[in-house]
Amino acid sequence: MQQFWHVFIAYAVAWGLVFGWAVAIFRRMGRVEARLREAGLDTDPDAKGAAGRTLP
Amino acid sequence: MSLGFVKWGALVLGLAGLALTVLFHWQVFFWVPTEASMGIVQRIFYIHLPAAWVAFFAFGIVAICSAVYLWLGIEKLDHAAQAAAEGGMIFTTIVLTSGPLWAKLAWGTWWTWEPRLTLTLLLWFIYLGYFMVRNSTDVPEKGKKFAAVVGIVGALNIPLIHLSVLWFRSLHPQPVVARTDGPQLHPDMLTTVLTALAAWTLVFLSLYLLRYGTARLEAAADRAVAATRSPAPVREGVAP
Repeated sequence: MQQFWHVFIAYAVAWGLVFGWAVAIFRRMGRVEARLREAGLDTDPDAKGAAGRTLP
Repeated sequence: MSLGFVKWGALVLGLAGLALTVLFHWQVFFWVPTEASMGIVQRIFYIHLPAAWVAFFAFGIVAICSAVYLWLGIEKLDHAAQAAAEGGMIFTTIVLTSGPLWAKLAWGTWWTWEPRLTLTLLLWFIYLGYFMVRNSTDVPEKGKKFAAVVGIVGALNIPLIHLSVLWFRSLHPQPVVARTDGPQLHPDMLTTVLTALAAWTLVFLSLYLLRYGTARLEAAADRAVAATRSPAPVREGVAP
Protein backbone atom coordinates (compact mmCIF):
# COMPACT_ATOMS: atom_id res chain seq x y z
CA MET A 1 0.00 0.00 0.00
CA GLN A 2 2.93 2.33 0.77
CA GLN A 3 4.04 2.03 -2.87
CA PHE A 4 0.64 3.28 -4.09
CA TRP A 5 0.77 6.25 -1.70
CA HIS A 6 4.20 7.30 -2.94
CA VAL A 7 3.04 7.11 -6.57
CA PHE A 8 -0.17 9.07 -5.92
CA ILE A 9 1.62 11.75 -3.88
CA ALA A 10 4.27 12.16 -6.61
CA TYR A 11 1.61 12.60 -9.31
CA ALA A 12 -0.51 14.88 -7.11
CA VAL A 13 2.45 17.15 -6.28
CA ALA A 14 3.46 17.29 -9.96
CA TRP A 15 0.01 18.27 -11.20
CA GLY A 16 -0.51 20.58 -8.24
CA LEU A 17 2.62 22.52 -9.19
CA VAL A 18 1.67 22.70 -12.89
CA PHE A 19 -1.91 23.71 -12.04
CA GLY A 20 -0.63 26.30 -9.57
CA TRP A 21 1.65 27.78 -12.24
CA ALA A 22 -1.28 27.94 -14.70
CA VAL A 23 -3.51 29.69 -12.13
CA ALA A 24 -0.73 32.18 -11.30
CA ILE A 25 -0.28 32.99 -15.01
CA PHE A 26 -4.02 33.49 -15.62
CA ARG A 27 -4.38 35.69 -12.52
CA ARG A 28 -1.37 37.75 -13.57
CA MET A 29 -2.74 38.12 -17.11
CA GLY A 30 -6.16 39.13 -15.76
CA ARG A 31 -4.58 41.79 -13.52
CA VAL A 32 -2.50 43.36 -16.29
CA GLU A 33 -5.42 43.32 -18.76
CA ALA A 34 -7.64 45.04 -16.18
CA ARG A 35 -4.91 47.62 -15.58
CA LEU A 36 -4.68 48.33 -19.31
CA ARG A 37 -8.45 48.59 -19.73
CA GLU A 38 -8.61 51.07 -16.83
CA ALA A 39 -6.02 53.17 -18.63
CA GLY A 40 -8.11 52.97 -21.83
CA LEU A 41 -5.42 51.06 -23.71
CA ASP A 42 -5.56 48.04 -26.01
CA THR A 43 -4.60 44.78 -24.36
CA ASP A 44 -2.53 43.68 -27.35
CA PRO A 45 0.96 45.21 -27.49
CA ASP A 46 1.04 44.52 -31.23
CA ALA A 47 -2.40 45.96 -32.04
CA LYS A 48 -2.33 48.54 -34.81
CA GLY A 49 -5.15 51.03 -35.23
CA ALA A 50 -7.56 49.22 -32.94
CA ALA A 51 -10.42 50.99 -31.18
CA GLY A 52 -8.58 51.99 -28.01
CA ARG A 53 -5.27 53.80 -27.65
CA THR A 54 -2.43 51.47 -28.60
CA LEU A 55 0.38 50.65 -26.21
CA PRO A 56 3.70 52.44 -26.67
CA MET B 1 4.47 37.42 -32.47
CA SER B 2 1.13 39.04 -31.61
CA LEU B 3 -0.68 38.38 -28.33
CA GLY B 4 -3.62 36.92 -30.24
CA PHE B 5 -1.28 34.34 -31.80
CA VAL B 6 0.23 33.63 -28.38
CA LYS B 7 -3.23 32.98 -26.87
CA TRP B 8 -4.39 30.77 -29.73
CA GLY B 9 -1.08 28.90 -29.80
CA ALA B 10 -1.29 28.31 -26.06
CA LEU B 11 -4.88 27.04 -26.39
CA VAL B 12 -4.05 24.58 -29.19
CA LEU B 13 -0.88 23.30 -27.50
CA GLY B 14 -2.68 23.10 -24.14
CA LEU B 15 -5.57 21.03 -25.55
CA ALA B 16 -3.16 18.68 -27.34
CA GLY B 17 -1.11 18.39 -24.14
CA LEU B 18 -4.19 17.62 -22.03
CA ALA B 19 -5.35 14.95 -24.50
CA LEU B 20 -1.94 13.27 -24.34
CA THR B 21 -1.95 13.67 -20.56
CA VAL B 22 -5.21 11.69 -20.29
CA LEU B 23 -3.72 9.04 -22.57
CA PHE B 24 -0.47 8.70 -20.63
CA HIS B 25 -2.29 8.47 -17.28
CA TRP B 26 -4.37 5.65 -18.71
CA GLN B 27 -1.15 3.99 -19.89
CA VAL B 28 0.57 4.45 -16.51
CA PHE B 29 -2.27 3.20 -14.32
CA PHE B 30 -4.00 0.59 -16.54
CA TRP B 31 -1.73 -0.53 -19.38
CA VAL B 32 2.02 -0.51 -18.82
CA PRO B 33 3.50 -3.65 -17.16
CA THR B 34 4.80 -3.39 -13.59
CA GLU B 35 8.60 -3.36 -13.34
CA ALA B 36 9.85 -6.63 -11.83
CA SER B 37 12.38 -5.46 -9.21
CA MET B 38 10.89 -2.17 -7.91
CA GLY B 39 7.18 -2.84 -8.35
CA ILE B 40 4.44 -0.19 -8.45
CA VAL B 41 6.66 2.67 -7.26
CA GLN B 42 8.62 2.53 -10.54
CA ARG B 43 5.59 4.26 -12.16
CA ILE B 44 6.95 7.53 -10.75
CA PHE B 45 9.50 7.20 -13.57
CA TYR B 46 6.80 8.32 -16.06
CA ILE B 47 6.64 11.79 -14.50
CA HIS B 48 10.19 11.97 -13.16
CA LEU B 49 12.03 11.60 -16.47
CA PRO B 50 9.69 13.81 -18.59
CA ALA B 51 9.80 16.54 -15.90
CA ALA B 52 13.61 16.43 -16.01
CA TRP B 53 13.55 16.68 -19.82
CA VAL B 54 11.16 19.65 -19.75
CA ALA B 55 13.27 21.39 -17.09
CA PHE B 56 16.43 20.97 -19.17
CA PHE B 57 14.56 22.15 -22.29
CA ALA B 58 13.31 25.22 -20.42
CA PHE B 59 16.75 26.10 -19.08
CA GLY B 60 18.15 25.61 -22.59
CA ILE B 61 15.66 28.25 -23.79
CA VAL B 62 16.77 30.51 -20.92
CA ALA B 63 20.44 30.16 -21.92
CA ILE B 64 19.87 30.80 -25.65
CA CYS B 65 17.48 33.74 -25.13
CA SER B 66 19.75 35.22 -22.44
CA ALA B 67 22.84 34.97 -24.66
CA VAL B 68 21.08 36.68 -27.58
CA TYR B 69 19.57 39.25 -25.19
CA LEU B 70 23.05 40.15 -23.91
CA TRP B 71 24.27 40.39 -27.49
CA LEU B 72 21.42 42.32 -29.16
CA GLY B 73 19.53 43.78 -26.17
CA ILE B 74 16.08 42.83 -27.54
CA GLU B 75 13.62 43.06 -24.63
CA LYS B 76 11.35 40.30 -25.98
CA LEU B 77 14.19 37.81 -25.49
CA ASP B 78 14.48 38.73 -21.82
CA HIS B 79 10.75 38.09 -21.43
CA ALA B 80 11.16 34.74 -23.22
CA ALA B 81 14.05 33.79 -20.90
CA GLN B 82 12.15 34.87 -17.78
CA ALA B 83 9.06 32.83 -18.75
CA ALA B 84 11.19 29.74 -19.49
CA ALA B 85 13.10 30.10 -16.21
CA GLU B 86 9.81 30.09 -14.28
CA GLY B 87 8.70 26.90 -16.05
CA GLY B 88 12.13 25.33 -15.51
CA MET B 89 11.85 26.00 -11.77
CA ILE B 90 8.41 24.35 -11.64
CA PHE B 91 9.58 21.24 -13.47
CA THR B 92 12.85 20.97 -11.51
CA THR B 93 10.75 21.12 -8.34
CA ILE B 94 8.70 18.20 -9.71
CA VAL B 95 11.94 16.26 -10.32
CA LEU B 96 13.18 17.05 -6.82
CA THR B 97 9.93 15.93 -5.15
CA SER B 98 9.12 12.86 -7.25
CA GLY B 99 12.72 11.60 -6.99
CA PRO B 100 12.83 11.27 -3.17
CA LEU B 101 9.34 9.68 -3.13
CA TRP B 102 10.70 7.03 -5.50
CA ALA B 103 14.12 6.78 -3.80
CA LYS B 104 12.66 6.11 -0.34
CA LEU B 105 11.25 2.79 -1.55
CA ALA B 106 13.85 1.94 -4.20
CA TRP B 107 17.04 2.94 -2.34
CA GLY B 108 15.77 3.05 1.24
CA THR B 109 16.48 6.76 1.68
CA TRP B 110 14.72 10.02 0.78
CA TRP B 111 17.95 11.78 -0.17
CA THR B 112 21.63 11.08 -0.63
CA TRP B 113 24.39 13.44 -1.69
CA GLU B 114 25.25 11.53 -4.84
CA PRO B 115 26.40 13.53 -7.94
CA ARG B 116 23.17 13.66 -9.95
CA LEU B 117 20.96 14.62 -7.02
CA THR B 118 23.43 17.21 -5.79
CA LEU B 119 23.85 18.78 -9.24
CA THR B 120 20.08 18.89 -9.78
CA LEU B 121 19.60 20.64 -6.44
CA LEU B 122 22.38 23.04 -7.45
CA LEU B 123 20.53 23.72 -10.73
CA TRP B 124 17.38 24.59 -8.75
CA PHE B 125 19.33 27.01 -6.55
CA ILE B 126 21.07 28.61 -9.55
CA TYR B 127 17.72 29.46 -11.13
CA LEU B 128 16.37 30.62 -7.78
CA GLY B 129 19.38 32.96 -7.91
CA TYR B 130 18.31 33.99 -11.43
CA PHE B 131 15.11 35.52 -9.99
CA MET B 132 16.85 36.98 -6.94
CA VAL B 133 19.52 38.68 -9.07
CA ARG B 134 16.83 40.03 -11.40
CA ASN B 135 15.16 41.92 -8.59
CA SER B 136 18.30 42.85 -6.66
CA THR B 137 19.20 46.11 -8.39
CA ASP B 138 17.57 49.53 -8.49
CA VAL B 139 18.13 49.67 -12.26
CA PRO B 140 15.91 46.99 -13.87
CA GLU B 141 18.06 46.79 -17.04
CA LYS B 142 21.12 45.94 -14.94
CA GLY B 143 19.19 43.23 -13.09
CA LYS B 144 18.06 41.69 -16.38
CA LYS B 145 21.66 41.55 -17.63
CA PHE B 146 22.96 39.98 -14.41
CA ALA B 147 20.14 37.44 -14.54
CA ALA B 148 20.97 36.63 -18.18
CA VAL B 149 24.55 35.77 -17.13
CA VAL B 150 23.22 33.51 -14.33
CA GLY B 151 20.85 31.89 -16.85
CA ILE B 152 23.73 31.03 -19.17
CA VAL B 153 26.01 29.76 -16.39
CA GLY B 154 23.18 27.65 -14.93
CA ALA B 155 22.61 25.84 -18.21
CA LEU B 156 26.25 24.65 -18.19
CA ASN B 157 25.15 22.39 -15.31
CA ILE B 158 22.73 20.44 -17.55
CA PRO B 159 25.29 18.29 -19.44
CA LEU B 160 27.03 17.63 -16.11
CA ILE B 161 23.77 16.28 -14.66
CA HIS B 162 23.26 14.01 -17.68
CA LEU B 163 26.84 12.72 -17.75
CA SER B 164 27.34 12.48 -13.97
CA VAL B 165 26.05 8.89 -13.90
CA LEU B 166 28.72 7.93 -16.46
CA TRP B 167 31.60 9.85 -14.87
CA PHE B 168 31.03 9.15 -11.17
CA ARG B 169 29.88 6.30 -8.96
CA SER B 170 26.18 6.95 -8.56
CA LEU B 171 23.02 5.39 -7.13
CA HIS B 172 21.19 6.54 -10.25
CA PRO B 173 21.08 3.90 -12.99
CA GLN B 174 22.83 4.41 -16.32
CA PRO B 175 20.64 6.16 -18.93
CA VAL B 176 17.88 3.86 -20.25
CA VAL B 177 16.34 6.10 -22.94
CA ALA B 178 18.98 8.59 -24.17
CA ARG B 179 21.66 6.02 -25.08
CA THR B 180 23.93 5.89 -28.09
CA ASP B 181 22.92 2.24 -28.70
CA GLY B 182 19.18 3.00 -28.45
CA PRO B 183 16.69 2.82 -25.55
CA GLN B 184 16.86 -0.21 -23.27
CA LEU B 185 13.30 -0.44 -22.03
CA HIS B 186 10.34 -2.76 -22.49
CA PRO B 187 8.53 -1.45 -25.64
CA ASP B 188 5.33 -0.66 -23.65
CA MET B 189 7.35 1.28 -21.05
CA LEU B 190 9.13 3.18 -23.81
CA THR B 191 5.78 4.06 -25.47
CA THR B 192 4.41 5.29 -22.14
CA VAL B 193 7.42 7.42 -21.29
CA LEU B 194 7.48 8.95 -24.80
CA THR B 195 3.75 9.77 -24.55
CA ALA B 196 4.35 11.37 -21.15
CA LEU B 197 7.30 13.29 -22.57
CA ALA B 198 5.20 14.66 -25.43
CA ALA B 199 2.34 15.53 -23.05
CA TRP B 200 4.53 17.41 -20.57
CA THR B 201 6.37 19.21 -23.36
CA LEU B 202 3.10 20.45 -24.89
CA VAL B 203 1.70 21.48 -21.50
CA PHE B 204 4.93 23.36 -20.77
CA LEU B 205 4.95 25.09 -24.18
CA SER B 206 1.33 26.13 -23.73
CA LEU B 207 1.92 27.70 -20.30
CA TYR B 208 5.24 29.12 -21.46
CA LEU B 209 3.56 30.99 -24.32
CA LEU B 210 0.95 32.41 -21.93
CA ARG B 211 3.62 33.47 -19.43
CA TYR B 212 5.63 35.10 -22.22
CA GLY B 213 2.54 36.98 -23.43
CA THR B 214 1.84 38.16 -19.88
CA ALA B 215 5.42 39.39 -19.44
CA ARG B 216 5.13 41.37 -22.68
CA LEU B 217 1.82 42.90 -21.61
CA GLU B 218 3.27 43.88 -18.23
CA ALA B 219 6.23 45.59 -19.86
CA ALA B 220 3.93 47.40 -22.30
CA ALA B 221 1.64 48.49 -19.45
CA ASP B 222 4.63 49.80 -17.47
CA ARG B 223 5.76 51.82 -20.51
CA ALA B 224 2.24 53.18 -21.02
CA VAL B 225 1.94 54.26 -17.39
CA ALA B 226 5.41 55.87 -17.51
CA ALA B 227 4.44 57.73 -20.71
CA THR B 228 1.27 59.14 -19.15
CA ARG B 229 3.16 60.25 -16.01
CA SER B 230 6.01 62.03 -17.79
CA PRO B 231 5.22 65.74 -18.47
CA ALA B 232 4.49 66.77 -22.07
CA PRO B 233 7.41 68.55 -23.76
CA VAL B 234 7.07 72.39 -23.70
CA ARG B 235 7.96 74.24 -26.88
CA GLU B 236 9.44 77.74 -26.57
CA GLY B 237 7.25 80.58 -27.79
CA VAL B 238 4.09 78.57 -28.24
CA ALA B 239 1.04 79.67 -26.27
CA PRO B 240 -0.57 76.89 -24.23
